[in-house]
Amino acid sequence: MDITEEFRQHFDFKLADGYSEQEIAAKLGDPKTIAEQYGSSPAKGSGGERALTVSLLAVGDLFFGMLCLLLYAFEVVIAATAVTFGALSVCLIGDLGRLEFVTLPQMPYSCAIALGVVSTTLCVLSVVGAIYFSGFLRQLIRSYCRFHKNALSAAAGRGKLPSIPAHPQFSQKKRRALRWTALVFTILFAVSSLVGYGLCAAMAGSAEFWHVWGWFV
Amino acid sequence: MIKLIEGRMLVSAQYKKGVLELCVMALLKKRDCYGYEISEYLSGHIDIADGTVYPILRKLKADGLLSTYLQEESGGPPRKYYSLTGLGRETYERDRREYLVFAKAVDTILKED
Repeated sequence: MDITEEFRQHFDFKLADGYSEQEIAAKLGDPKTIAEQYGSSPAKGSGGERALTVSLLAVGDLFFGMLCLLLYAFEVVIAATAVTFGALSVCLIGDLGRLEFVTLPQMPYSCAIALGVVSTTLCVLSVVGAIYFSGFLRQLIRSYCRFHKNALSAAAGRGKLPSIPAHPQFSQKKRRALRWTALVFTILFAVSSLVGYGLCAAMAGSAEFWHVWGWFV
Repeated sequence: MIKLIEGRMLVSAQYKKGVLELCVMALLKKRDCYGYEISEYLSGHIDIADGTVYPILRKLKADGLLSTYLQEESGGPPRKYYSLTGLGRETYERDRREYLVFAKAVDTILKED
């Protein structure tokens, strides 16, 4: 169905409502003006332009894919860090050095608890980091996909969608929780490190307690 | 003098067109309509020529904001229904917000007169 069909139906409806053809035509407006308004439809992009866009996008996709791989690898590193610190705190606080298959450096149990707490704060901070980073990655990919789609639409002369911001989009609640957790556990980390170091130094009777306990021999 | 008036009319027609696009999308957000329905609805509210709506519908469709489908009606040719696409919905929400802020500002300025 095209333009004339649409106007033919308009006439049919109006005629059915009891208007005369002259009245309908008068109400329809100046034909020249209407014709001009049809002229403002967006022009389709030329074939060459589209091919250029597509090939540039292909190169862009390749680089973006590699960047994503790299960033995903980093996400894995952060997650592994979190797991490691988590496991370390379990070993330290649970006194698992007693077990045959766990090897922990020598230290009094009170020091192990103090250092376990430090490790726990680092674990929580890594988890927050991993969540934030995965949010960032997800949004980065969404943003790129939207850009990709828009570039293709523009080349084809179609409309564009609004672009997507590249920074992580968390709900207000989640963002507040993440920020709060990060702040609290940074403070806890600072305090527990100082306390842990102080305790170890006091127990060993030396500022370089690791030498006293022979950790690196 | 006549030229000036024509120029003013043109400006007025142009800004009206943008706002009319918004009105069409507002109507289609509520439900799918066929062309004549939209034309009647708008000319019932705003003083425009009946024919103005059809080029707007075509442009919105070309921009990917609307999609169309045919529906059989009892005793008549199939009607072309217009429906807002996802892109149309997104665009409508954004333009609506922008327009409301703009209209409010203009309203404030004009009332200071």
